[in-house]
Amino acid sequence: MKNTTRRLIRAAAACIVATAIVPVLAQGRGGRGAGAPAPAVDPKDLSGYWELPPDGHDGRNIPRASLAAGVTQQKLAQISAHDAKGYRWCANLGLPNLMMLTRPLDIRVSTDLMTIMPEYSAAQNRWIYLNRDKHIPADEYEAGVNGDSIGHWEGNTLVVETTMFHPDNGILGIPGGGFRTPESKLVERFQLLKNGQVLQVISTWTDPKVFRTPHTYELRYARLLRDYEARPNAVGDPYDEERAQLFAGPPKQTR
Amino acid sequence: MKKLIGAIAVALAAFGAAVDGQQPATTAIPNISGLWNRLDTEGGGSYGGIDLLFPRAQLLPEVAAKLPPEQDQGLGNAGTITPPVVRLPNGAYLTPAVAAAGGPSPTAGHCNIGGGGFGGVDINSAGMEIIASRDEVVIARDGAAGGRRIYMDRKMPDVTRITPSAAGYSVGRFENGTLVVTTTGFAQGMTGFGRGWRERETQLTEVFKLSPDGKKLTITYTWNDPKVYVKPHTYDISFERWETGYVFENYCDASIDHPENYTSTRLVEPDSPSGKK
Repeated sequence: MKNTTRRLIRAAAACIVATAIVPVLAQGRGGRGAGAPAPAVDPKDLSGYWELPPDGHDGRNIPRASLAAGVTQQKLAQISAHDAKGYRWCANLGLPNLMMLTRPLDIRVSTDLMTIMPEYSAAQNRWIYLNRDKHIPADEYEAGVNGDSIGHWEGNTLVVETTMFHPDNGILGIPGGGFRTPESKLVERFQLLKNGQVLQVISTWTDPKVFRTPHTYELRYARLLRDYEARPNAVGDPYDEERAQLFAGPPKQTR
Repeated sequence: MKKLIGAIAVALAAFGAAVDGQQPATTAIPNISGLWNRLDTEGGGSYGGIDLLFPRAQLLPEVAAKLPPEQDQGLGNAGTITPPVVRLPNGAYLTPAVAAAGGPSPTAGHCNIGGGGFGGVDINSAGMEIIASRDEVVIARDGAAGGRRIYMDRKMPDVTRITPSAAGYSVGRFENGTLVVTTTGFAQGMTGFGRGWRERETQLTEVFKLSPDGKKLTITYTWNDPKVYVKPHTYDISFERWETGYVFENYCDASIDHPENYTSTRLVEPDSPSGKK
Protein backbone atom coordinates (compact mmCIF):
# COMPACT_ATOMS: atom_id res chain seq x y z
CA MET A 1 0.00 0.00 0.00
CA LYS A 2 2.85 2.33 0.88
CA ASN A 3 4.53 1.57 -2.45
CA THR A 4 1.31 2.25 -4.32
CA THR A 5 0.93 5.58 -2.58
CA ARG A 6 4.55 6.49 -3.30
CA ARG A 7 4.15 5.63 -6.97
CA LEU A 8 1.01 7.71 -7.12
CA ILE A 9 2.74 10.66 -5.51
CA ARG A 10 5.71 10.34 -7.88
CA ALA A 11 3.38 10.17 -10.86
CA ALA A 12 1.53 13.23 -9.66
CA ALA A 13 4.81 15.09 -9.14
CA ALA A 14 5.89 14.19 -12.68
CA CYS A 15 2.57 15.45 -14.03
CA ILE A 16 2.97 18.73 -12.18
CA VAL A 17 6.50 19.22 -13.54
CA ALA A 18 5.33 18.41 -17.05
CA THR A 19 2.35 20.72 -16.72
CA ALA A 20 4.66 23.51 -15.65
CA ILE A 21 7.32 22.99 -18.30
CA VAL A 22 5.36 22.32 -21.46
CA PRO A 23 3.57 25.69 -21.70
CA VAL A 24 6.85 27.51 -21.06
CA LEU A 25 8.56 25.63 -23.85
CA ALA A 26 5.59 26.25 -26.09
CA GLN A 27 6.18 29.97 -25.73
CA GLY A 28 9.52 29.55 -27.36
CA ARG A 29 11.65 30.55 -24.42
CA GLY A 30 13.31 27.18 -24.44
CA GLY A 31 14.65 27.79 -27.91
CA ARG A 32 14.21 25.82 -31.10
CA GLY A 33 13.57 22.14 -30.50
CA ALA A 34 14.09 22.56 -26.80
CA GLY A 35 11.59 20.02 -25.57
CA ALA A 36 8.34 18.21 -25.85
CA PRO A 37 5.92 19.14 -28.63
CA ALA A 38 3.65 22.06 -27.90
CA PRO A 39 0.14 21.23 -26.73
CA ALA A 40 -2.60 21.20 -29.34
CA VAL A 41 -4.13 24.61 -29.97
CA ASP A 42 -7.65 25.64 -30.85
CA PRO A 43 -7.60 25.55 -34.67
CA LYS A 44 -9.90 28.56 -34.73
CA ASP A 45 -7.90 30.70 -32.35
CA LEU A 46 -6.43 33.15 -34.84
CA SER A 47 -5.91 35.77 -32.13
CA GLY A 48 -2.32 36.79 -31.65
CA TYR A 49 0.51 38.80 -33.14
CA TRP A 50 1.52 37.69 -36.62
CA GLU A 51 4.43 38.70 -38.79
CA LEU A 52 5.55 38.01 -42.34
CA PRO A 53 9.12 36.76 -42.67
CA PRO A 54 11.40 39.78 -42.88
CA ASP A 55 13.29 39.03 -46.09
CA GLY A 56 10.47 40.09 -48.38
CA HIS A 57 10.24 36.70 -50.08
CA ASP A 58 9.76 33.92 -47.55
CA GLY A 59 6.16 33.41 -46.57
CA ARG A 60 4.93 34.89 -49.82
CA ASN A 61 3.75 32.90 -52.83
CA ILE A 62 2.62 35.56 -55.25
CA PRO A 63 2.29 34.54 -58.91
CA ARG A 64 1.92 37.09 -61.66
CA ALA A 65 -1.68 38.08 -62.26
CA SER A 66 -3.37 37.45 -65.58
CA LEU A 67 -4.81 40.82 -66.46
CA ALA A 68 -7.88 41.51 -68.56
CA ALA A 69 -7.41 42.73 -72.09
CA GLY A 70 -8.79 46.13 -71.18
CA VAL A 71 -6.00 46.83 -68.72
CA THR A 72 -3.64 48.95 -70.75
CA GLN A 73 -0.07 49.95 -69.98
CA GLN A 74 -1.35 53.48 -69.70
CA LYS A 75 -3.83 52.43 -67.01
CA LEU A 76 -1.15 50.53 -65.13
CA ALA A 77 1.16 53.54 -65.28
CA GLN A 78 -1.67 55.68 -63.97
CA ILE A 79 -2.23 53.31 -61.03
CA SER A 80 1.49 53.18 -60.37
CA ALA A 81 1.68 56.98 -60.25
CA HIS A 82 -1.37 57.10 -58.01
CA ASP A 83 0.19 54.67 -55.55
CA ALA A 84 3.56 56.41 -55.62
CA LYS A 85 1.81 59.61 -54.60
CA GLY A 86 -0.03 57.67 -51.88
CA TYR A 87 3.22 56.38 -50.40
CA ARG A 88 4.76 59.83 -50.64
CA TRP A 89 1.88 61.40 -48.73
CA CYS A 90 1.37 58.53 -46.28
CA ALA A 91 -2.09 57.66 -47.53
CA ASN A 92 -4.12 55.25 -45.45
CA LEU A 93 -2.95 52.08 -47.17
CA GLY A 94 -5.98 49.84 -47.01
CA LEU A 95 -6.31 46.43 -48.60
CA PRO A 96 -4.40 44.58 -49.81
CA ASN A 97 -1.33 46.58 -48.82
CA LEU A 98 -2.17 46.43 -45.13
CA MET A 99 -1.76 42.66 -45.15
CA MET A 100 1.73 42.97 -46.63
CA LEU A 101 3.28 45.08 -43.87
CA THR A 102 6.46 43.71 -42.41
CA ARG A 103 5.69 44.84 -38.90
CA PRO A 104 3.43 42.57 -36.84
CA LEU A 105 -0.32 42.51 -37.26
CA ASP A 106 -2.36 42.18 -34.08
CA ILE A 107 -5.26 39.92 -35.02
CA ARG A 108 -8.09 39.53 -32.53
CA VAL A 109 -11.15 37.41 -33.06
CA SER A 110 -14.33 37.25 -31.04
CA THR A 111 -17.60 35.54 -31.85
CA ASP A 112 -19.02 38.42 -33.85
CA LEU A 113 -16.11 40.62 -34.77
CA MET A 114 -12.50 40.40 -35.87
CA THR A 115 -9.86 43.07 -36.20
CA ILE A 116 -6.47 43.28 -37.83
CA MET A 117 -4.45 46.06 -36.27
CA PRO A 118 -1.17 47.12 -37.85
CA GLU A 119 1.66 48.99 -36.16
CA TYR A 120 1.77 51.75 -38.72
CA SER A 121 0.14 55.14 -38.52
CA ALA A 122 -0.75 55.08 -42.23
CA ALA A 123 -2.72 51.85 -41.97
CA GLN A 124 -6.01 52.07 -40.16
CA ASN A 125 -7.40 49.00 -38.44
CA ARG A 126 -9.26 46.50 -40.52
CA TRP A 127 -12.60 45.13 -39.30
CA ILE A 128 -14.24 41.87 -40.28
CA TYR A 129 -17.83 41.23 -39.30
CA LEU A 130 -18.64 37.66 -38.34
CA ASN A 131 -22.19 38.40 -37.28
CA ARG A 132 -23.70 39.04 -40.70
CA ASP A 133 -23.75 37.13 -43.95
CA LYS A 134 -24.57 40.06 -46.21
CA HIS A 135 -22.68 43.19 -47.04
CA ILE A 136 -24.05 46.52 -45.96
CA PRO A 137 -26.27 47.96 -48.71
CA ALA A 138 -24.19 50.17 -50.96
CA ASP A 139 -26.45 53.15 -50.36
CA GLU A 140 -25.78 52.91 -46.61
CA TYR A 141 -22.07 52.27 -46.81
CA GLU A 142 -19.32 54.80 -47.17
CA ALA A 143 -16.77 53.00 -49.30
CA GLY A 144 -13.33 52.81 -47.77
CA VAL A 145 -9.82 51.61 -48.36
CA ASN A 146 -10.51 48.40 -46.46
CA GLY A 147 -13.93 47.77 -47.98
CA ASP A 148 -16.67 45.88 -46.18
CA SER A 149 -15.49 42.51 -44.89
CA ILE A 150 -17.76 39.68 -43.71
CA GLY A 151 -16.55 36.31 -42.56
CA HIS A 152 -17.75 32.84 -41.72
CA TRP A 153 -16.18 29.57 -40.67
CA GLU A 154 -15.93 26.61 -43.01
CA GLY A 155 -14.56 23.93 -40.72
CA ASN A 156 -11.35 25.37 -39.32
CA THR A 157 -10.98 27.91 -42.10
CA LEU A 158 -12.22 31.45 -41.75
CA VAL A 159 -13.49 32.67 -45.11
CA VAL A 160 -13.62 36.45 -45.46
CA GLU A 161 -15.24 38.25 -48.37
CA THR A 162 -14.51 41.91 -48.96
CA THR A 163 -15.99 44.32 -51.46
CA MET A 164 -17.11 47.95 -51.84
CA PHE A 165 -13.68 49.50 -51.99
CA HIS A 166 -13.14 53.20 -52.44
CA PRO A 167 -12.31 54.05 -56.07
CA ASP A 168 -9.32 56.29 -55.34
CA ASN A 169 -8.31 56.31 -51.70
CA GLY A 170 -5.43 54.24 -50.46
CA ILE A 171 -2.93 52.10 -52.33
CA LEU A 172 -4.71 50.41 -55.21
CA GLY A 173 -2.04 48.01 -56.46
CA ILE A 174 -2.43 44.29 -55.82
CA PRO A 175 0.51 41.93 -55.23
CA GLY A 176 1.31 40.12 -58.46
CA GLY A 177 -0.24 42.80 -60.64
CA GLY A 178 -3.52 44.53 -61.19
CA PHE A 179 -5.39 46.90 -58.92
CA ARG A 180 -8.57 47.10 -56.96
CA THR A 181 -11.69 48.93 -58.05
CA PRO A 182 -15.09 49.43 -56.41
CA GLU A 183 -16.21 46.30 -58.26
CA SER A 184 -13.37 44.12 -57.03
CA LYS A 185 -14.11 41.23 -54.71
CA LEU A 186 -11.52 39.71 -52.41
CA VAL A 187 -11.97 36.32 -50.76
CA GLU A 188 -9.42 35.37 -48.10
CA ARG A 189 -9.11 32.00 -46.43
CA PHE A 190 -7.46 32.17 -42.99
CA GLN A 191 -6.17 28.89 -41.62
CA LEU A 192 -3.72 27.89 -38.91
CA LEU A 193 -0.83 25.60 -39.81
CA LYS A 194 1.93 23.95 -37.81
CA ASN A 195 -0.09 23.58 -34.65
CA GLY A 196 -1.09 27.21 -34.65
CA GLN A 197 2.37 28.67 -35.15
CA VAL A 198 1.75 29.73 -38.76
CA LEU A 199 -1.21 31.60 -40.20
CA GLN A 200 -1.90 30.91 -43.85
CA VAL A 201 -3.96 33.47 -45.75
CA ILE A 202 -4.90 32.62 -49.32
CA SER A 203 -6.29 35.64 -51.15
CA THR A 204 -8.28 35.54 -54.36
CA TRP A 205 -9.22 38.67 -56.26
CA THR A 206 -11.94 38.72 -58.88
CA ASP A 207 -12.79 41.69 -61.05
CA PRO A 208 -13.61 40.99 -64.70
CA LYS A 209 -12.43 44.42 -65.76
CA VAL A 210 -9.02 43.88 -64.18
CA PHE A 211 -8.30 40.15 -64.09
CA ARG A 212 -8.74 37.67 -66.90
CA THR A 213 -8.94 34.87 -64.33
CA PRO A 214 -9.19 35.08 -60.54
CA HIS A 215 -5.86 36.13 -59.09
CA THR A 216 -4.76 34.04 -56.11
CA TYR A 217 -1.73 34.41 -53.87
CA GLU A 218 -0.71 33.13 -50.47
CA LEU A 219 0.87 34.70 -47.43
CA ARG A 220 2.17 32.86 -44.37
CA TYR A 221 2.64 34.71 -41.12
CA ALA A 222 4.63 33.50 -38.11
CA ARG A 223 3.04 33.73 -34.67
CA LEU A 224 5.07 35.89 -32.32
CA LEU A 225 5.81 34.90 -28.76
CA ARG A 226 2.96 35.16 -26.33
CA ASP A 227 4.71 37.87 -24.39
CA TYR A 228 5.07 40.15 -27.43
CA GLU A 229 3.59 43.59 -26.89
CA ALA A 230 2.60 45.99 -29.62
CA ARG A 231 5.11 48.75 -30.16
CA PRO A 232 4.10 52.34 -30.80
CA ASN A 233 3.08 52.83 -34.39
CA ALA A 234 5.74 53.45 -36.97
CA VAL A 235 5.08 56.96 -38.18
CA GLY A 236 5.00 58.07 -41.77
CA ASP A 237 5.26 61.85 -41.85
CA PRO A 238 4.10 63.38 -45.14
CA TYR A 239 5.39 66.78 -44.05
CA ASP A 240 8.94 65.53 -43.50
CA GLU A 241 10.83 67.15 -46.37
CA GLU A 242 13.89 64.95 -46.00
CA ARG A 243 11.68 61.88 -46.20
CA ALA A 244 9.98 63.34 -49.25
CA GLN A 245 13.35 63.40 -51.03
CA LEU A 246 13.24 59.62 -50.98
CA PHE A 247 10.44 59.81 -53.51
CA ALA A 248 11.98 62.53 -55.68
CA GLY A 249 14.04 60.91 -58.39
CA PRO A 250 17.34 59.04 -58.23
CA PRO A 251 19.12 58.73 -54.88
CA LYS A 252 21.29 61.64 -53.92
CA GLN A 253 23.27 62.59 -50.87
CA THR A 254 21.18 64.40 -48.26
CA ARG A 255 23.11 67.15 -46.54
CA MET B 1 -6.67 6.66 -0.70
CA LYS B 2 -9.63 8.08 -2.59
CA LYS B 3 -9.15 11.37 -0.77
CA LEU B 4 -5.51 11.42 -1.82
CA ILE B 5 -6.40 10.79 -5.47
CA GLY B 6 -9.09 13.44 -5.32
CA ALA B 7 -6.74 15.96 -3.77
CA ILE B 8 -4.10 15.30 -6.41
CA ALA B 9 -6.67 15.67 -9.19
CA VAL B 10 -7.86 18.99 -7.79
CA ALA B 11 -4.28 20.19 -7.37
CA LEU B 12 -3.40 19.22 -10.92
CA ALA B 13 -6.43 20.98 -12.33
CA ALA B 14 -5.74 24.15 -10.39
CA PHE B 15 -2.06 24.09 -11.22
CA GLY B 16 -2.70 23.55 -14.89
CA ALA B 17 -5.10 26.48 -15.04
CA ALA B 18 -2.67 28.73 -13.23
CA VAL B 19 0.25 27.83 -15.48
CA ASP B 20 -1.79 28.32 -18.59
CA GLY B 21 -2.72 31.79 -17.44
CA GLN B 22 -6.34 31.38 -18.39
CA GLN B 23 -9.43 32.29 -16.47
CA PRO B 24 -10.83 29.43 -14.38
CA ALA B 25 -13.61 27.69 -16.22
CA THR B 26 -16.16 28.91 -13.70
CA THR B 27 -15.47 32.59 -14.39
CA ALA B 28 -18.34 34.16 -16.30
CA ILE B 29 -16.86 35.97 -19.29
CA PRO B 30 -19.15 38.73 -20.52
CA ASN B 31 -19.44 39.26 -24.24
CA ILE B 32 -18.20 42.82 -24.37
CA SER B 33 -16.90 42.48 -27.93
CA GLY B 34 -18.62 44.65 -30.48
CA LEU B 35 -19.28 48.19 -31.66
CA TRP B 36 -20.32 50.64 -28.98
CA ASN B 37 -21.64 54.18 -29.13
CA ARG B 38 -21.47 56.57 -26.22
CA LEU B 39 -24.79 57.54 -24.78
CA ASP B 40 -23.74 60.77 -23.07
CA THR B 41 -23.38 62.81 -26.21
CA GLU B 42 -25.08 65.83 -24.73
CA GLY B 43 -22.66 68.70 -25.21
CA GLY B 44 -21.03 66.84 -28.07
CA GLY B 45 -18.95 68.80 -30.55
CA SER B 46 -17.13 70.34 -27.66
CA TYR B 47 -15.17 68.24 -25.24
CA GLY B 48 -15.56 71.02 -22.76
CA GLY B 49 -19.30 70.60 -23.08
CA ILE B 50 -19.21 66.90 -22.30
CA ASP B 51 -16.72 67.43 -19.52
CA LEU B 52 -19.15 69.66 -17.67
CA LEU B 53 -21.32 66.59 -17.12
CA PHE B 54 -18.65 64.78 -15.12
CA PRO B 55 -17.91 65.18 -11.41
CA ARG B 56 -14.93 67.34 -10.66
CA ALA B 57 -11.83 65.62 -9.34
CA GLN B 58 -10.85 66.59 -5.82
CA LEU B 59 -7.16 67.26 -6.14
CA LEU B 60 -4.57 68.10 -3.55
CA PRO B 61 -3.86 71.85 -3.73
CA GLU B 62 -0.33 71.44 -5.05
CA VAL B 63 -1.64 69.25 -7.87
CA ALA B 64 -4.57 71.51 -8.68
CA ALA B 65 -2.01 74.27 -9.22
CA LYS B 66 -0.55 72.27 -12.12
CA LEU B 67 -3.76 72.31 -14.11
CA PRO B 68 -4.02 74.73 -17.01
CA PRO B 69 -6.91 77.17 -17.10
CA GLU B 70 -10.18 75.64 -18.10
CA GLN B 71 -10.13 75.57 -21.84
CA ASP B 72 -11.86 73.71 -24.56
CA GLN B 73 -9.05 72.05 -26.52
CA GLY B 74 -7.13 75.30 -26.50
CA LEU B 75 -9.89 77.13 -28.31
CA GLY B 76 -11.02 79.23 -25.40
CA ASN B 77 -12.90 78.77 -22.18
CA ALA B 78 -15.31 75.89 -22.07
CA GLY B 79 -18.58 77.07 -23.43
CA THR B 80 -17.09 79.89 -25.43
CA ILE B 81 -19.06 80.26 -28.60
CA THR B 82 -16.65 81.93 -30.96
CA PRO B 83 -13.08 81.33 -29.84
CA PRO B 84 -10.42 83.27 -31.70
CA VAL B 85 -8.42 81.54 -34.37
CA VAL B 86 -5.42 82.61 -36.42
CA ARG B 87 -5.64 82.43 -40.18
CA LEU B 88 -2.67 81.38 -42.30
CA PRO B 89 -1.93 82.61 -45.82
CA ASN B 90 -2.98 79.26 -47.23
CA GLY B 91 -6.39 79.62 -45.67
CA ALA B 92 -5.79 77.24 -42.81
CA TYR B 93 -6.72 78.16 -39.28
CA LEU B 94 -4.53 77.71 -36.24
CA THR B 95 -5.69 77.62 -32.69
CA PRO B 96 -4.22 80.34 -30.48
CA ALA B 97 -2.11 77.81 -28.62
CA VAL B 98 -0.64 76.45 -31.82
CA ALA B 99 -0.06 79.90 -33.26
CA ALA B 100 1.73 80.96 -30.07
CA ALA B 101 3.94 77.93 -30.38
CA GLY B 102 5.08 79.10 -33.78
CA GLY B 103 2.86 76.96 -35.95
CA PRO B 104 1.74 73.40 -36.22
CA SER B 105 3.72 70.73 -34.49
CA PRO B 106 5.97 68.91 -36.95
CA THR B 107 5.06 65.55 -35.54
CA ALA B 108 1.60 65.65 -34.06
CA GLY B 109 -1.87 66.02 -35.32
CA HIS B 110 -1.27 66.27 -39.03
CA CYS B 111 -2.92 64.01 -41.48
CA ASN B 112 -2.03 60.43 -40.63
CA ILE B 113 0.75 61.42 -38.25
CA GLY B 114 1.02 60.28 -34.70
CA GLY B 115 -0.71 57.02 -35.21
CA GLY B 116 -4.36 57.91 -34.94
CA GLY B 117 -4.59 55.24 -32.32
CA PHE B 118 -5.92 55.32 -28.84
CA GLY B 119 -4.34 58.36 -27.28
CA GLY B 120 -5.23 57.41 -23.76
CA VAL B 121 -7.72 55.52 -21.69
CA ASP B 122 -10.55 58.00 -21.96
CA ILE B 123 -12.94 57.47 -24.80
CA ASN B 124 -13.62 60.74 -26.54
CA SER B 125 -15.01 59.37 -29.74
CA ALA B 126 -18.61 58.36 -30.06
CA GLY B 127 -17.59 55.16 -31.80
CA MET B 128 -15.67 52.51 -29.86
CA GLU B 129 -14.85 48.94 -30.67
CA ILE B 130 -13.91 46.20 -28.24
CA ILE B 131 -12.65 42.75 -29.05
CA ALA B 132 -11.96 40.42 -26.17
CA SER B 133 -9.73 37.50 -27.01
CA ARG B 134 -8.30 34.91 -24.65
CA ASP B 135 -5.15 36.76 -23.76
CA GLU B 136 -5.79 40.33 -24.87
CA VAL B 137 -8.63 42.80 -25.01
CA VAL B 138 -8.26 45.55 -27.58
CA ILE B 139 -10.15 48.81 -27.58
CA ALA B 140 -10.08 51.01 -30.64
CA ARG B 141 -12.09 53.78 -32.13
CA ASP B 142 -13.37 54.59 -35.56
CA GLY B 143 -10.70 55.66 -38.00
CA ALA B 144 -7.84 54.53 -35.78
CA ALA B 145 -4.57 52.85 -36.59
CA GLY B 146 -3.90 50.65 -33.60
CA GLY B 147 -5.58 50.79 -30.27
CA ARG B 148 -5.33 50.20 -26.57
CA ARG B 149 -4.30 46.78 -25.32
CA ILE B 150 -5.37 45.16 -22.08
CA TYR B 151 -3.31 42.10 -21.27
CA MET B 152 -5.30 39.28 -19.72
CA ASP B 153 -2.55 36.78 -19.14
CA ARG B 154 0.09 38.63 -17.21
CA LYS B 155 0.82 40.52 -14.06
CA MET B 156 1.44 44.24 -13.79
CA PRO B 157 5.16 44.91 -14.23
CA ASP B 158 6.99 47.22 -11.87
CA VAL B 159 6.03 50.76 -12.78
CA THR B 160 9.67 51.66 -13.36
CA ARG B 161 9.71 49.24 -16.31
CA ILE B 162 6.73 50.85 -18.02
CA THR B 163 7.43 53.57 -20.55
CA PRO B 164 5.08 56.37 -19.44
CA SER B 165 2.29 57.08 -21.88
CA ALA B 166 -1.20 58.51 -21.94
CA ALA B 167 -2.61 55.00 -22.03
CA GLY B 168 -0.26 53.49 -19.46
CA TYR B 169 -0.02 49.73 -19.11
CA SER B 170 -3.16 47.71 -18.53
CA VAL B 171 -3.81 44.26 -17.18
CA GLY B 172 -7.28 42.82 -16.83
CA ARG B 173 -9.28 39.95 -15.41
CA PHE B 174 -12.85 38.78 -15.58
CA GLU B 175 -14.50 38.94 -12.20
CA ASN B 176 -18.13 38.36 -11.28
CA GLY B 177 -19.29 38.86 -14.85
CA THR B 178 -17.34 42.08 -15.33
CA LEU B 179 -14.01 42.99 -16.87
CA VAL B 180 -11.80 44.66 -14.30
CA VAL B 181 -8.80 46.54 -15.69
CA THR B 182 -5.93 48.04 -13.75
CA THR B 183 -3.70 50.61 -15.41
CA THR B 184 -0.63 52.49 -14.30
CA GLY B 185 2.57 53.89 -15.82
CA PHE B 186 0.97 57.05 -17.14
CA ALA B 187 2.63 60.07 -18.65
CA GLN B 188 2.00 63.12 -16.51
CA GLY B 189 -1.08 65.02 -17.59
CA MET B 190 -4.77 65.65 -17.25
CA THR B 191 -7.35 62.92 -17.28
CA GLY B 192 -9.95 63.14 -19.98
CA PHE B 193 -12.89 64.00 -17.78
CA GLY B 194 -13.51 65.87 -14.56
CA ARG B 195 -10.21 67.75 -14.68
CA GLY B 196 -8.31 65.05 -12.92
CA TRP B 197 -4.56 64.54 -13.00
CA ARG B 198 -2.37 61.53 -13.56
CA GLU B 199 1.20 60.83 -12.61
CA ARG B 200 3.33 57.85 -13.50
CA GLU B 201 2.26 55.88 -10.43
CA THR B 202 -1.39 56.90 -10.49
CA GLN B 203 -3.60 53.85 -10.67
CA LEU B 204 -6.75 53.65 -12.73
CA THR B 205 -9.29 50.91 -12.18
CA GLU B 206 -11.95 50.39 -14.82
CA VAL B 207 -14.91 48.07 -14.43
CA PHE B 208 -16.66 47.10 -17.67
CA LYS B 209 -20.17 45.92 -16.89
CA LEU B 210 -22.76 44.68 -19.35
CA SER B 211 -26.48 45.08 -18.87
CA PRO B 212 -28.36 41.78 -18.52
CA ASP B 213 -29.50 41.93 -22.15
CA GLY B 214 -25.96 42.67 -23.33
CA LYS B 215 -26.99 45.82 -25.15
CA LYS B 216 -25.60 48.40 -22.78
CA LEU B 217 -22.09 48.74 -21.43
CA THR B 218 -21.04 50.89 -18.49
CA ILE B 219 -17.43 51.62 -17.71
CA THR B 220 -16.73 52.90 -14.22
CA TYR B 221 -13.43 54.74 -13.96
CA THR B 222 -11.68 55.24 -10.62
CA TRP B 223 -8.46 57.24 -10.53
CA ASN B 224 -6.52 56.72 -7.35
CA ASP B 225 -3.31 58.28 -6.16
CA PRO B 226 -2.83 59.58 -2.60
CA LYS B 227 -0.23 62.00 -3.92
CA VAL B 228 -2.75 63.51 -6.33
CA TYR B 229 -6.29 63.09 -5.09
CA VAL B 230 -8.04 64.01 -1.87
CA LYS B 231 -10.27 61.06 -2.63
CA PRO B 232 -10.49 58.71 -5.64
CA HIS B 233 -11.91 60.35 -8.75
CA THR B 234 -14.79 58.22 -10.03
CA TYR B 235 -17.15 58.54 -12.97
CA ASP B 236 -19.10 56.38 -15.39
CA ILE B 237 -19.44 56.37 -19.16
CA SER B 238 -22.26 54.40 -20.76
CA PHE B 239 -22.51 52.93 -24.23
CA GLU B 240 -25.09 51.15 -26.31
CA ARG B 241 -24.28 48.27 -28.61
CA TRP B 242 -24.50 49.08 -32.32
CA GLU B 243 -25.39 45.72 -33.75
CA THR B 244 -26.11 46.80 -37.29
CA GLY B 245 -23.33 49.30 -37.76
CA TYR B 246 -19.82 49.30 -39.06
CA VAL B 247 -16.57 51.01 -38.16
CA PHE B 248 -16.00 54.24 -40.02
CA GLU B 249 -12.74 54.94 -41.73
CA ASN B 250 -11.09 58.30 -41.54
CA TYR B 251 -9.41 59.34 -44.73
CA CYS B 252 -7.13 62.30 -44.96
CA ASP B 253 -5.18 63.31 -48.04
CA ALA B 254 -2.11 65.13 -46.77
CA SER B 255 -1.23 66.30 -50.26
CA ILE B 256 -4.19 68.65 -50.23
CA ASP B 257 -3.57 72.04 -48.70
CA HIS B 258 -6.62 72.01 -46.52
CA PRO B 259 -7.12 73.36 -43.01
CA GLU B 260 -7.94 69.98 -41.56
CA ASN B 261 -4.72 68.61 -42.96
CA TYR B 262 -2.61 71.36 -41.54
CA THR B 263 -3.53 72.51 -38.08
CA SER B 264 -2.61 70.45 -35.09
CA THR B 265 -5.76 70.73 -33.07
CA ARG B 266 -9.46 70.76 -33.68
CA LEU B 267 -10.60 73.49 -36.01
CA VAL B 268 -13.37 75.98 -35.75
CA GLU B 269 -14.88 77.60 -38.79
CA PRO B 270 -15.14 81.32 -38.01
CA ASP B 271 -18.48 81.58 -39.75
CA SER B 272 -19.95 78.78 -37.69
CA PRO B 273 -22.09 80.38 -34.99
CA SER B 274 -21.71 77.53 -32.56
CA GLY B 275 -18.10 76.88 -33.30
CA LYS B 276 -19.01 73.27 -33.96
CA LYS B 277 -18.08 71.43 -37.06
